[in-house]
Order: sequence, then structure tokens, then C-alpha cells
Amino acid sequence: MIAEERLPRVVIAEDDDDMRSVLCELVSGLGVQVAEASSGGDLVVLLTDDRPVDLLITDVRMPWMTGFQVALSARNSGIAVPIIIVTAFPDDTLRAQVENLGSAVLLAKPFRPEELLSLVRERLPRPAASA
Amino acid sequence: MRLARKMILAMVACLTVVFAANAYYRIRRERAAFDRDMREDHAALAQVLGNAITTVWKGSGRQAAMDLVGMLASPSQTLHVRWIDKDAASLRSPHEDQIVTDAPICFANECHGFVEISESLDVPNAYAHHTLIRTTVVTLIGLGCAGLVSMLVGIWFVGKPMQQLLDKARRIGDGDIERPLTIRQRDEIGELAAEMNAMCLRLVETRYALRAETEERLRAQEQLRHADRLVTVGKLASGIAHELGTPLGVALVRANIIAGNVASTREVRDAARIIGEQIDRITHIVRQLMDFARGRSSTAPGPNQRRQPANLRKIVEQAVAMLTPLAVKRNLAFELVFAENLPEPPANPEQIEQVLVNLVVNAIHASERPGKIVITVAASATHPPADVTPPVFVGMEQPRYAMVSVKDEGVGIGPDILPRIFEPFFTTKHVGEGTGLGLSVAYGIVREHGGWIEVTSVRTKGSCFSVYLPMDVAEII
Repeated sequence: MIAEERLPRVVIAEDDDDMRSVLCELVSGLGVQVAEASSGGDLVVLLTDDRPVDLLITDVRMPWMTGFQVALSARNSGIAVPIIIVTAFPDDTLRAQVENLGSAVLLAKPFRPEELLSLVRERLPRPAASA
Repeated sequence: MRLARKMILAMVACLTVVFAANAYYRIRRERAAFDRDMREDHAALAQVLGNAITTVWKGSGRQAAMDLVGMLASPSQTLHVRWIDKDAASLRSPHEDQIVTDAPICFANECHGFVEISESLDVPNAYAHHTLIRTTVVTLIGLGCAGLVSMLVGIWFVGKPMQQLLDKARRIGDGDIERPLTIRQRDEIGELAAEMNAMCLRLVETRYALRAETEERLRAQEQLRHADRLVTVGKLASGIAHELGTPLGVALVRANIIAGNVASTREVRDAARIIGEQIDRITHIVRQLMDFARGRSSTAPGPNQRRQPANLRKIVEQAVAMLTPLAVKRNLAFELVFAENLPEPPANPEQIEQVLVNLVVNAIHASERPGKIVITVAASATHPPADVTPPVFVGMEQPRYAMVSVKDEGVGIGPDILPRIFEPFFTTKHVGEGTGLGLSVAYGIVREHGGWIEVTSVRTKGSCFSVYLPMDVAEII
């Protein structure tokens, strides 16, 4: 199958450069392809190009569109990719909204590297062959 | 009392006129009747005397007739009789103050003279005078009695209740609407008193209703304020979490890399440098938060509050000097417009400079292409917008303000986010450019000075932030 022939592709959206590089470094360690977006607008562009996306990791507060707004639009357009939403303030409203999205999970900042990594591993379609 | 007195005086005057007219006509009528009786008596007497004297004269001669006349002319009587020869008609008595009647003595075709009967009018005059005095006295006594009685009645039924009504009206005017009137008369005054009592009752009811309503409103307001505080605290907490979460997360991951003991020396050094940078970020945020908190806590007016006539030109020039390098880097020029007779509002100069710096920094960040930033200082007599709460002024008839505006040609603010720009931690800036506290701090400072900030903005054309500071702060709520 085609999926087995390629590396899983993870899209990471985060407007803070330091945080984005941290996320990228951690996730790349799992032997996956990583695509970066630094704003809601960039993320929309990445999600709408023809290349497949296996997992989306996004911050909430970003310029142009929040990560949650992008995720919601993605779901409305029929994109069923698993989503990890990273936020510094996981209040009840956001929690409920994320639950309604389906196959999405909240990760509170600051987090330990293992917390993120285990969430990513659980959501990747098939453990990638170790790099 | 005065009303009763007027009524009594009017009544007495009427009675006086009626009594006087009645007495006048009665006396005149009696006098005329008296006169008529006397004249009739005289006429009869003259005829009898004439006949008698003629008879005597015919039988016994002239002398006997004259003797008879002399006998009749007794000086003791009020009635005088005397003989007047026909040649001495000029001797006749005058007709003033007496009634005079003549009886001619004529026989054998010759008039020999006449007998004159005269009577003084003293008696009827005295009678009329007496009647007048008696009538006057009786009238006066009657009037006195009537006046006294009507005065007593007037005081009892009009004067006293009127005084009570008057006192009550004055008490109502002074705000005392307790103690109802106890006038039990069944007339207009009684009805008026009852209506007044009813009115007071309604006033009492209204007053209680109003008080209850006011308390209810205050309670609702307090609840709203509480809810508002909770919302603000929530926003503040969310803002702090957002701002601190990212650098903490970065630092945590880098610390893990160091602790993992598998990274190269270079990686460890990089990780440590990044941790240091994140801590700097956190420190900056904490410092801004403290500025924000300090701005808030100086709300209470006290000796620390250093308000003096602020030299706005100096403040603007200082702020511009400080920010010129930043502006130059973005190809922006400042244009300063100072009106003549610059106003000097009572203000804390450092705080106002902070407000200006925050506004100008925002203007610089909003300008994505080369252009200018116009700062204007002028006096203004505008009125604060209705939605500025708490109200800006108490006891000022002619509000006067100093206005400082900062106008940019930047990206502008959309109507969707315009209402939120003064919220703490609200920002549309890129990471590292702002914490979302600048406008909150500015807003807080300006409100403490009794002023407000007005914003006009058009997307892609630019924004204008105008700070209004009151010239006379009579009392700031």
C-alpha cells in the first residue's frame, strides 16, 4: 500500500519560533516527516495542498486564525486527521469544543516531552519503521 | 386666619350698607309722615280759627276778635297764633324751621287781614335726630355681634383647618410625609385634607417602591460588577497562562534534553542558551504584569499621586525622542502638531508619558509600510461618550479637556476586535512584539485621571487614538 511506502507526515502549527522548533525536534525524533506552519493562514495552506497529513499538532493562539478555528474548518471540510491541540489555558469551554471535534485531544503547556511523544505515537497510523 | 378676617370684613361691610340704607329710608319716611300730619292739623285749625274769629268779629266787633287772637297767642305753646293786618303782609313769619299757615278773615266782600298759625319744626327734628342715634347704636351693636359670631365660626371652620393644611403642605415640601391630617369636616376643606392624606400615602408607597427598586438595582449592579471582575480575573489568568505557558514549555523540553545526558556539548550549550532566553521572556512578562498592577493600585487618590499641571509638549517630545530609533528602523516619520495656548491638565507626567509611549509603540507596530505618525496636542470642549463608566465629571458645567491624539497610517483595527483592544492580554501582534498589556495600562492610567481614550480606525487606512484629560477635576468618582 501507498501509506506503507512513505513516512507518516505530521503538520505542526505554532507561532512561537522557539516552541515550534521544540515541537519539531521532538516529533522528528519519531522518524516522521514534519511540515511547519507559523500562523493559522499557513496551516490552512498546508492542510489544503494535495499531500496527505497523518497528524496535526497545533497551538490555539496564532495570528490570522486560531488553531481551533482551523481544526473546526478542517472537520467541516471532511478532513478526519487526528489532532493534538496544544494550549496554555485548557478551560472547560475549549475542552468541550475539542471533544466535539472528534479524534482530537488537548495538551496543556508546559508539558514534558514524553507526554507529547506518547500522544503522537498513539495517533500515528502505524508505528513508523525506526529510522 | 387672614382668609377668615377678609370674609368677616366683607360681611360686616355688606351688613353696614344694608342697615344704613334701611335706617336712612325709614327716617325719611317717618319725617315726611310727621310733616304731612302737622300740615293737615294746621289746615283744620286755620279753618276753625278763621270761622271763629269771623263770627266774633261779625257779632262783637274787631276788638273782641283781636282779644280772642291775643288769648290764643300764648307764648307757652309750641303753636303760635297772631293777627296780621292786610296791609302788613310783609310782617309774615319766614317759613324756615317752622310750618306757617294763614287763615284769611274775609267777609262782606272785604278781606280784613289774616290769622297766622306757626309751629316750630324743633319737635320733628329732635325726633328724627333721636331716631338716627338709636338706629345707629342698634346697628353697631348688631354688627359687632354678627362680626364676633362670624369671626368665631370663621376661625373654627376655616382659619384653623386652613392653618393645618398650610402646615401640612409645608411639611410635605420639607419631605415629611408622615403624620396624616385629622380634619373631620364634611366640606371642601375636609375633602382637601382627605385628598392630601391620600396623596401622602401614595407618596409614601412610591418612596418605598423607589427605595426597593434602587436597592434592587444596586444589588444587580454589584452582581454585574462582581461577574465583570470574575471575567476580568479569568481573562487575566488565561492571558498569564498563555504568555507563560510557551516559554515554560520550551524551557522544560530543553532542560530535559540537558538532563537526558545524551546530547552533545554543543546541543547542551544551545539548550542552556534557549532556557536563558525563555527565562528572559518570562521576566519581561512578569515585569509588565507588575506595571499593570501598579497602574491599577494607584487608583486611590493619596499623597503618592503626584498631579501637577503637565507640560504636554515636553512629554510628547520625550516620548518621541525615545521612540525615534524604532520608528526610523521602519521608515516612519513623526509629525508633531501643537495648538496655541497648550492646555496643562493636572496629571502625573510619568504616567502620561507611559500612556503616550504605549500608544506610539502600537502605532509603530501597526505601520507595515513607510509613512508618518501624527501626534496632536490641543484643547477640547467635547463631551465624554455616554458609555464611559464611571461617569467622568461631577459638578462641572463647561467641561474642558486636553486632547492628545496619535494617528498612524497602519493596518487599522477591524470592528470585530475594536471592542476588545483594552482587555488585558488581548493582542494581535506577533510573538515578542507585545504582551497585550500596553493599551490596558494606558486605559487604566487615563481613567484614573478622569479622562478616556477614543479610538477611530479604518482597516488598511490606519487608526487614531485620542486621549482626553480633564482640565478641572472637581471630583473623580
